[in-house]
Amino acid sequence: MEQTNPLRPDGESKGGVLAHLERLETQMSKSCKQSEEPQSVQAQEGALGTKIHKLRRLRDELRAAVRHRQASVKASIANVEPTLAVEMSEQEVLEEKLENVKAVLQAYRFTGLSGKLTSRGVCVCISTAFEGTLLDSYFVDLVIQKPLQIHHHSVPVFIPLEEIAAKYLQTNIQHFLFSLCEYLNAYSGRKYQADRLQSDFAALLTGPLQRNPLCNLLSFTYKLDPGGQSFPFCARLLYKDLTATLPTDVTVTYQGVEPLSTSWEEQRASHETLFCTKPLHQVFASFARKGEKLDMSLVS
Amino acid sequence: MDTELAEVRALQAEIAALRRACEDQPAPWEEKSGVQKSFQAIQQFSSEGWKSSKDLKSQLGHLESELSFLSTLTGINIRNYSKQTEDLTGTEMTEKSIRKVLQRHRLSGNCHMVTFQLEFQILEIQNKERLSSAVTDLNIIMEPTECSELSEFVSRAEERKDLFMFFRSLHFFVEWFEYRKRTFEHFKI
Repeated sequence: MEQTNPLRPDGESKGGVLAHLERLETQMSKSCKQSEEPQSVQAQEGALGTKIHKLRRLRDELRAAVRHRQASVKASIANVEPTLAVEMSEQEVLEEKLENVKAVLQAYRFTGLSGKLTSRGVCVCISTAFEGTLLDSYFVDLVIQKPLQIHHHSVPVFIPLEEIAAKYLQTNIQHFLFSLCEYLNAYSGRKYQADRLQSDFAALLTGPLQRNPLCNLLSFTYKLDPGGQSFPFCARLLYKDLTATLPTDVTVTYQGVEPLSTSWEEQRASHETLFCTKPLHQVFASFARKGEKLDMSLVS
Repeated sequence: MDTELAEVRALQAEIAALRRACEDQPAPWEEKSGVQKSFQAIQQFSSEGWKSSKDLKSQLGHLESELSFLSTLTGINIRNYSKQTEDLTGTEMTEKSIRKVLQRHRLSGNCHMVTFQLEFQILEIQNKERLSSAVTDLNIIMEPTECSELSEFVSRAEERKDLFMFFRSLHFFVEWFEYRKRTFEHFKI
């Protein structure tokens, strides 16, 4: 019987693993044929033993070959996978960029102006606030064409939108929007002050707060000591500058018959100054705080 | 002898099976079909990836042009923004249908050569009638730090917690500064 060589490294053997295995098999079939020839029982047994031995070897080599091929295929997939890995990470990079851009777009509302591109042009969103309090938002939908047009908007009718548009829209969109921002923020701020007066300091008001839609003309009567004997003051606030949140003209009058004492007159004058320099609800907040102190001075 | 014959038959059967297995998996260097098949599988997986990648790219392009528009319009270039939310609603508040949420915002960017970093908090209180939102804390870090006019409106904005005033003032200040610089440059020549 031929001695078979141990398995040579795959890459180097002629014809590869399959060929080698074929050779082994050929040897096997030869030895099988040999074992079929009439032999003595002892010879047969010996031949059988060798045959089993060789079959076992062939089986082991085949098992190894199958395992080897499985490993190689896996390795070749791994070689292809890096490309996949690159594609995947490119996608991840894109997704991350997208998330970042979306977040930054959201953040623009904190500048007071934000917007979205539309099929027609752009829809700008104007956010308003009064000092730290965030208030209503308004939008203006612009159509990009010659001439530039406002498609629709949510600006209140008493805001001079057409006037502002006539001045700036065609020549400078930025100026148009900044100007509109000013008007809307001022209106929002005035409205906020009036609302706060009504909701938080109703106790100090002796009658309803009178206001116009633009909130640039306010009229109200108030008393520093709600339960007390004094007559109320009557305040009239006019905000001529529509881009301002403080009044330009303030008159505080006394609704009594008798003339005011000096201290009261001083107070009346100081109130006029206060309303001109501080937000309305903050003035009343200071009234509420001083309430007790004032009571003491009135008694004397 | 019988057991040995049985073993021979078993071995032969196993060998036959292993040979078939060998044929089913051609070596990569012998035939490309194995690699081809696995590559096809990968491609199918990533073709959906490719489609969404294209969608992502076009979406990104659209949003980036939106960003560019806003940056030009406001004069402010925001680069980064992040937000954290904390629910402060206590059990008592839930009973009264009041919800309190604290938002922590962080954003940074630049306006021409001036860079800024803002950290602010917004407290949102929702009751039955309305939702109120107020800035409860505002911190602004600017670069350059030496400019006194900048620092002035920065501290005023921080005091009043007025975000819009800050951005509007920053834009106008920088524009004015750039204009002044250009004017001086003009006169130099």
